[in-house]
Amino acid sequence: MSDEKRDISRRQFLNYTLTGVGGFMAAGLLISPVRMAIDPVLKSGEGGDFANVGLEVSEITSDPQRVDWTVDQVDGWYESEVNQTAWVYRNDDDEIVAFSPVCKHLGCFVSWEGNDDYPEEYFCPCHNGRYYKNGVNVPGTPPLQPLDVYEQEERDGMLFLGNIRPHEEA
Amino acid sequence: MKWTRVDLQKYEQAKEYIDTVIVPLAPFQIGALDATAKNADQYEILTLFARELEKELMGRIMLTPTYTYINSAERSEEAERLNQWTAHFNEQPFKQVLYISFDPSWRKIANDLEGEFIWLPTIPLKDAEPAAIKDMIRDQTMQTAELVKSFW
Repeated sequence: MSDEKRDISRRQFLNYTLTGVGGFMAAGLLISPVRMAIDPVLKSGEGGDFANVGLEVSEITSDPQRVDWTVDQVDGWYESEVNQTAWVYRNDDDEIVAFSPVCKHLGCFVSWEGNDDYPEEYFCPCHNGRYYKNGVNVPGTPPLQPLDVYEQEERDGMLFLGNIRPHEEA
Repeated sequence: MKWTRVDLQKYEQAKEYIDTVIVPLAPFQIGALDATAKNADQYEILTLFARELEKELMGRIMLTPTYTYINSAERSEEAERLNQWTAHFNEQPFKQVLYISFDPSWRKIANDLEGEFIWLPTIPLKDAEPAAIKDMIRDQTMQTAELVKSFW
């Protein structure tokens, strides 16, 4: 009778234990890929990277204007305010375009009509790099790529700018 | 370009394009509170300002670490040391060495300096709103950038 009291045999006990441990190991292995697979769902919907640049959309004309704003940047434990700049205008299709001012040659700031000899162009003071109004580099000048473009959107009539991405006409 | 590993690597690739050195000059002391605090403010603003200027013109300038000197130091001796810096830069070769400072005492011996001295009107940091300071720095950066361009 004593055998019947032992509900679980040694063999069964080991089976259960190993199944349990194996299950945990499998789960452990699966967690990261699953987390990665559904990652976009977990990200907060609010585009946190967009910043108000303090310019009303209605003030944007076909003449490029310079806007300066600051964003908080956290770099490890070091938090700092970073100044950012863009040249904003409305193109022929009535779309708002915000160019990064950073010259694609060596990184100086370009300015719209920065040189009297080259009206209707962006001009880089460092090595006379030039860009057309649509941001494309003028061939024969030092820069080899068009100006980068800020992602942009309108919220409550204000212009918000986000990440920088390469010019699409490149 | 700044004096950092990343920028120095870029400089190595583009030496022929970067022909101007900018050296900020800042007096330093630890003594009577008022004067000392003023120097400390100056130093902070000059550093901020130099970084902004570097951002604006990074493709053609190399910003060096700030040259500091004891407030009471004999300027002619400091000028000699500065000329050693300049001689060192010219080995690279850089064509243009520009010193920027809020300290007007350099004006008197500017002729003894082998680089160009640019004096900046002081930005009062005391009691000012951070936003106002930012605007003033930005303003002065644009104006100084114009001045630097005139040397090219």
